[in-house]
Amino acid sequence: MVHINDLPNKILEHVFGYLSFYSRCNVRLVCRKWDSVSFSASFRTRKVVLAANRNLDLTILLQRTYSNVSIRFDGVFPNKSLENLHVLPSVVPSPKSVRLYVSQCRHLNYVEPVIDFGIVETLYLSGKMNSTTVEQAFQLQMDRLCSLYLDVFDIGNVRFRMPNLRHLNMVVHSQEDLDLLREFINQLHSLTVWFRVPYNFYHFGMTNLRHLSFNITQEDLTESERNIITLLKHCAQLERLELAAKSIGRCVLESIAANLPWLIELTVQASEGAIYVKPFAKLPRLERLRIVGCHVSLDRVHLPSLLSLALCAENLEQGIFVEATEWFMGFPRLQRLTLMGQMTLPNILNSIIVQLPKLRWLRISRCCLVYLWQMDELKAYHPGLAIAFD
Amino acid sequence: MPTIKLQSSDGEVFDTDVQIAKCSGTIKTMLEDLGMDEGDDEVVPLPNVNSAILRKVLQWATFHKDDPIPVEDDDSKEKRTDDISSWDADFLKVDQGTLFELILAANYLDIKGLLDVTCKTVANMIKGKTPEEIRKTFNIKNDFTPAEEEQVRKENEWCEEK
Repeated sequence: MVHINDLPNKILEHVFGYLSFYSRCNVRLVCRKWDSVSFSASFRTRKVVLAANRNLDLTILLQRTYSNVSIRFDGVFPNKSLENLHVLPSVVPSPKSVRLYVSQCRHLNYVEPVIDFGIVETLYLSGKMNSTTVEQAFQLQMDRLCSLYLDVFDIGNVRFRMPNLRHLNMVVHSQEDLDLLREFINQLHSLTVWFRVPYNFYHFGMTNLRHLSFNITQEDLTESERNIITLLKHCAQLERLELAAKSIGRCVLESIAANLPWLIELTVQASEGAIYVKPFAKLPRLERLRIVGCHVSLDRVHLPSLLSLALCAENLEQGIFVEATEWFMGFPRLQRLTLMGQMTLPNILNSIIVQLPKLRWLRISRCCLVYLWQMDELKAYHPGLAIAFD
Repeated sequence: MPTIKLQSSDGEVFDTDVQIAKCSGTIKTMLEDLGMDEGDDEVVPLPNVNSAILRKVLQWATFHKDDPIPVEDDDSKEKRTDDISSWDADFLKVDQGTLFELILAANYLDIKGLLDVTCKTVANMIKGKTPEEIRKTFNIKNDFTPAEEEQVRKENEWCEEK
């Protein structure tokens, strides 16, 4: 009989690929082969971060090298740990991704000798700089940096040199952050941004952005609708858009449809008001649509190229109300449907499915009044449909 | 309907609908590279698959012949393993040896859908189990020395998910 360890490593790797990080940690302990396959170098590079926050014990760690490291300076970083930082170059000889949590600007001085920022490709920087004391500006020269995640209060003293930055993910806390965004936006392919301060895009020129994720859920920014529309007009090449706000008016939705002809993937999230899907019919390439809200109108919607649709409640207790006279008549190519937090589902589920000739994956998640036995019945009716239920 | 002949490692010949056989990337390439025409009486030998497994593979391919090419949900998060259709779940109610042979066959024949669903099934057998329970499930011998095992445990404590 074929034994599991007769399978080639490549296949075991495929199996382990379905496991969570923590399951993988368990899998490592099964036997030597599983340890080496489940914690392969490529997996360590892609998924594992060495947390150098405590007292590093060299003898344990020198067996393997890591590509990603996280260092957290909160409160008083013990002196012992600082000494131990000197082992980093041997455990993390060529850092690809670095996560730093700092609470003072000088913490950057501690890591500079042990991390070669010139070869880092991804940097997460969070915390606060507290640059009240007159410190010298700190310059981070990162020639290979491709992705930056930034969530720092008082970034003032740090100067970034990032000629190859393509992906920026930032929380805008201050005007200085906004200046930083303006400095780099023209070289970016993807931008994810949360605003904590008022902003405007009227000074921004055309961008080359392919992916934009824009989050202003905190405020009610009805007056900034024109501001958002201005931004969208500057992002004509966008392929993927995520827009999250307290409410999203119809004119913004229409502006998405009118200005972004290359859009393939769209997520719209609003905690108040209805989201009208109808304008998106003008998007000829739209394949994946995700709506997160409390009320979505699917009335007279026809999206012939759509492959994947998700309708999710913004607040699971309130659920999401779906307004539609003829559910899902307009999605002839839909393969993947996710329904999360639906209140009115059980009676119509079967009739939805029969209207979707290409449906292959269905996920029903946290929908009230849908029970396991109904799912079992549904599975029996549609044996070819992969149904995930939780 | 055009058919081709597939021969298993133990010599059994399966007369198979061409469209179904082409679920297999390996057979598809073979047919194209060899320029085999439909109606040719040539037999495609599959030396790595025995007849019992080939019969199951063809049964799977017949049921799934009209499947669309899956859209990749580019979630870098954990992939789901609970989205196995009820037909597949019944189909894969087999002993471990057969399951692993199906995996090897899916791999050799390059049938992505079958490889995915069989590997998911194995992943589901691993999920939520302790290392000792996993060893029991698959009859694996623990070949770590106590010191090595301790080291892996310690290393795990240093690691975080990216």
